[in-house]
Amino acid sequence: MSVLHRVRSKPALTLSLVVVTAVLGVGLLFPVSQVLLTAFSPEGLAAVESLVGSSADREVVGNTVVLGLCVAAVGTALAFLFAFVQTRLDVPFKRVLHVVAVVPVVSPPFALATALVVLFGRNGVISQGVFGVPYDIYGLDGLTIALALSFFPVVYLTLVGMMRRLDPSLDEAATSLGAGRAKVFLTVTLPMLLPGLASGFLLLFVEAIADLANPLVLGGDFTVLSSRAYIAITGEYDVASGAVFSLSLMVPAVLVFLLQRYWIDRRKVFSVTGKPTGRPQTYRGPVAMTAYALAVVVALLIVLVYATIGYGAVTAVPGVNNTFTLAHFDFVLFGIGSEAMVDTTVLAVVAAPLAGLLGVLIAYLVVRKLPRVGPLLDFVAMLGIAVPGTVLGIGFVLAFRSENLVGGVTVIPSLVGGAAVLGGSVGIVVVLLIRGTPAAVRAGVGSLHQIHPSIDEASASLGADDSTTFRRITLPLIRPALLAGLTFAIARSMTTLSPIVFLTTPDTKIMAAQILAEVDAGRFGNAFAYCCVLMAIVLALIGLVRLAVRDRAVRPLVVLPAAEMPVVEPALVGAVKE
Amino acid sequence: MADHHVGNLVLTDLVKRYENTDPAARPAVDGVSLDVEAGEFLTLLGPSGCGKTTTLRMVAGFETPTSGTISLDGADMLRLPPNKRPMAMVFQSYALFPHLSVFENVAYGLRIDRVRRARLEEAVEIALTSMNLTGLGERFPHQLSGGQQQRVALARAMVVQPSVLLFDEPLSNLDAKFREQMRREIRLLQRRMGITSLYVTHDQAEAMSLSDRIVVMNAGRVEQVATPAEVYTRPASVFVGNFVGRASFLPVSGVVVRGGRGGVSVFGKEVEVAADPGVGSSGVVMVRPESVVVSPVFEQGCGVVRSAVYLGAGVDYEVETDQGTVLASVGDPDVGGLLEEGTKVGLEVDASRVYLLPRGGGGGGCLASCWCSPPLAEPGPRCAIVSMPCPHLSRR
Repeated sequence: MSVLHRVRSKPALTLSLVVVTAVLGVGLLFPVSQVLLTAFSPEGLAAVESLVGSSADREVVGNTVVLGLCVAAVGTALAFLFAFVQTRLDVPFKRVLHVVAVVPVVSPPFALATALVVLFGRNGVISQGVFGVPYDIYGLDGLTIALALSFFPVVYLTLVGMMRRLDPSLDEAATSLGAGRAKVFLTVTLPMLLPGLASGFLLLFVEAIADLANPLVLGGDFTVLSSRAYIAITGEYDVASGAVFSLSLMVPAVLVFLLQRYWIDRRKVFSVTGKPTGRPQTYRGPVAMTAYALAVVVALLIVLVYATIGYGAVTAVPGVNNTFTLAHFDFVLFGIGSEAMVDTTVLAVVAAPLAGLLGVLIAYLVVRKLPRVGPLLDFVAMLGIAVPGTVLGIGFVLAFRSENLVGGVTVIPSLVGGAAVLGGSVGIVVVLLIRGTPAAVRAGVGSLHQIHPSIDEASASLGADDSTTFRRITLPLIRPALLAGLTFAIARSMTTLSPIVFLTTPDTKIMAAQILAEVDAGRFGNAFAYCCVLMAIVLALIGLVRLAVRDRAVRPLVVLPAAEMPVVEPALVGAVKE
Repeated sequence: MADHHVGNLVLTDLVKRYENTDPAARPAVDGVSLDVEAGEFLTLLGPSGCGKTTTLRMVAGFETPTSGTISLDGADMLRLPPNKRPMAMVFQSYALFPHLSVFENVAYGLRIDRVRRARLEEAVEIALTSMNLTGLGERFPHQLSGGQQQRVALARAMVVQPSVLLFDEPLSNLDAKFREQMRREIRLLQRRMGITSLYVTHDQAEAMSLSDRIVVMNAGRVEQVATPAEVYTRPASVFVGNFVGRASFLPVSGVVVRGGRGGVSVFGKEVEVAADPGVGSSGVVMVRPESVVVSPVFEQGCGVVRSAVYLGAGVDYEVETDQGTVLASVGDPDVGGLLEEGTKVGLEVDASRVYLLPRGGGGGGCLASCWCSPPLAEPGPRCAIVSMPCPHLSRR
C-alpha cells in the first residue's frame, strides 16, 4: 500500500499522527537538539574544557553525584519503610500515615525547603529556639532531607502497589517449607521487590540531580549542576556553559530512563504472580515496632513542615516576629502577587487538558494503531519528562528567543524573552504540555493494555470506523486514565519550576518563580502564602476535574490476567514532580 | 428480521505468513480454499495453532492475508476495512462494551448505521427477546452471568443483520452445562434466520452438533471438508480420525483395494471394508472404540486388557493385541462384570464400522501404527505392536 493510499484510507489516524509529531518535534526535539548543537559548538567545547579542567566545576559534578546517591538511598529507604508499615504491619493510624506520606506530591517546590530553613536554619525555630544549637541546614544534609521528603511519596506509592500484589501464598509456601518470618522476608519478599526498589532508587537519583528549586534555596555553598547551569544562564549570560552543564545532567537522566524502560520494567513482569489469593501475614515484634516508630517520626516531621508553611503564611516574620498577620495572603491574593496567581492558573488550565488529551491520544496510537513505530513514539513522548527541566528550559531559550524563519517566512514566532508572543505564555504552555504529557501517556498505555483488543474489533465488526471506536468505546473506557493524566498535568503545571524559570517574562509571572524570588529576598511569609494558595488551587482544580469527569462505577469486563497488567508505572512517578 | 441478505462466502488459496517468522517455516495459514454456501453453518475445527482463528480473522478483516482472495457474493472483501464488511463477529471474550448497558450494546451497530430511533428500539427489543434477554436491557455487562453475556454478544451481532456471522470460539469461556445449552440455542437461531455462519472451535463435540459441514484443519491446511457424519466415519486422514472422536489405528499390509473396498485382516478375521481411494498396498484400519465388542470368551481376535477405566456410563478398555493397542468402550456396563487388567479377551467388530485409510497420511504427526489420545496430547507412539501370537500372551 502506498503512503498516499494509507493517508486517504485513514484520515483521522494521519491527522492525529501529524499533530502528535508536530507537537513533540517543535516542543521537545527541536529545543533539545539546540542544546546539543550549542554544547558542541566552539564555545560549548570551550565550556566542556573548563568543566573538565577547573577544579571548582569538577567539584560541582562530584557534589551532584553525591547528592543524587544520598537522596536515592534515603528516599528509597523512606519509601520502603512506609510501604512496609502500610502493607505488612497491623498498627493503628495507617490511613493517616498514608495521607501524610502522599501530601508532598501536591506541594510546590520550595515549600519543604523553605519550611526546613525556618525550622532548622541558622535561626531555626527548632534548632536555635528549642535546642539552642546553631545548626546550619544549608548544604548536603538539608538538600538530602528536603529532596528525599519531596520525592519519596511516588516511590512509596509504587512499592505499596507492588507489595499488595505480591501473592501471599508465596510467603505461605516459604513458611510451610520451614522458613521463619525474617527468613521469608529476606529470601522471598525482598528479592521480589528488588526491581521496584532499584527503579525507585534510580528515579530518585535522577530527580535529585535534576532538581533546581531546592539547590537554589537550600544549597548554600553546595553547588550542583542544575543550579550552576541556572547561574550560568541568568547570572553570567553564558548560554554555552549553561547548555554544557545541563547536558551533563541529561546524560545520566536519559541513561537511567533507558535502564528503567528496557531492563527493570521487563523484569518486573515476572516478579508478580496472578491474583492475590490470601491476606499477607503481618509482622510483630521489636523490629516491626521500630519500623512503625520511625515511620511515625518521619510523618510527624512532614506534618511539622506543612504546619510551618501554614503558620508562616500568617506570621509577620516566621521564627523572629511571630505576630499574626494576613498581609502575606493579601499580597498574594489581592496585591502585586495576584498577577502570578492568575497567570499560573490560566496557563495550567490551558495546558493540562491539552496534555491529558495528547497523552491519551499518543497512548492509543502506541498501543492500538502503530505496532512498529509505536515504541519510538512512546519513547520520544517520555523524553519530555526524562530530559531535565533545565535542559528543556535552556533549549527553549536557544530555539525560540528569536523567531524561526524558513525562506524568509516566519514559521514559529518568538516564544521566549521580551519580544515573545503573548508575553511568552505560548512558550510556557508548550513546555507545560511537553512536561505534562508523559504521565497521561503512561496512564493511558496502562489502561489500554487492560482493555482486550477484541473490544475494538467488536466495534469495527459492527461497522464503526477508527475515530468512532475511539470516541465511543476507547475514550469512555480509559476515562479513569484520562482523569489521572489530567490530575498529574495540573499538579505539574502549577508547581513546575525548572523549565519555566527560564521562560518567564515581566508580562507572564509564574508562582513557582515568584516563590523563588520571595525566598531569595528573605520574605518567607510571602513565599509560604504563595505555597498555601498554590496548593489550594491545585486541590481545587483536581476536585473540579473529578466533578466534571465523574466516573460511573464501570468495571472493565474484558481485562488481561492480573499477571499481564502493568503493575508499576515508573514514569508516572517521574511525572509528578521535578 | 428475515429480510436480511444471505451471503455466499468464498475463500481462495488463502495464505497468511506472519512477518518476523522464518521464511522457510510453514505459513500460519497455508493455501486454504473454502466455499461457504448461502445459509450454511460451516465450522473450522482443529487443534490450537492450526490456523483456524487466523483464517476467521482474515475473513473479518482483522488480519491481512499474504495472498489469496476472499469474496462475498462475488465482491472482493479484501478491499474493504473490517467496518465496511457486511459481517459481524462473536468473540471468545464476548467483547461487550463494559461502559454501555445491554440495550446500548445491542443498539451499537444500529446507531453506527444511523437507524431511526423507533426502528432501532424495536429491532433491539426483538433481538433481546429472541435471546431470552427480555428485561435485562438496563443492566450492565458485569451484572450478567457468562451465559447471558454471550447471549448479548450474539444479539449484538445478529441485530445488524450481517450477511455472514463469524464465531471465534464463543463458547469456550462458558462452563460445560451452559455450553451445551448455548450450543442448542445458536443452532436453533441460525437455522431459523438462515444466516451464513463461519464458526471456529477446537471442540469436536461442538463442531459435530452445530455444523452443516466441518472443515478439519491442521498446520495451516485443510485436511477434510465434509458433513459431521462423513468426518467421523470416513475421515480423510489419520489426523482427522484422531482429532474427531477416538479411534484405534491398526496397520495392515498387502491390501488390494478395488471399487472403494479393500480386504483386510481385523482381529484375526479377514473382512472386506470401505476404503479411502488413496490407500495403496498398505494402510491403516480405523476402528472406533464404541464399535468394538469385547467378550471374555475369545474365539478369533484376542488380546489382553491393559487398563480398564470405569466412567459410569461406560467402561474404557485398552486391549493389547498383536495388531497394536485397541481402544474399546463398552456402554452401560455391568458393574459386577468389569474385566480386570490382565484378562485375556476376544475382540470383534462389524466390518461396516471399519474404515481403511492411507498410512500416516495427512501429516497428522501421528504414526499409523499407534493410537493417540485425542486431542493429540502426545504425538509419539504410545505402544509397540505386540508380535507374539495370542495364546502366549502372558498374564500380568
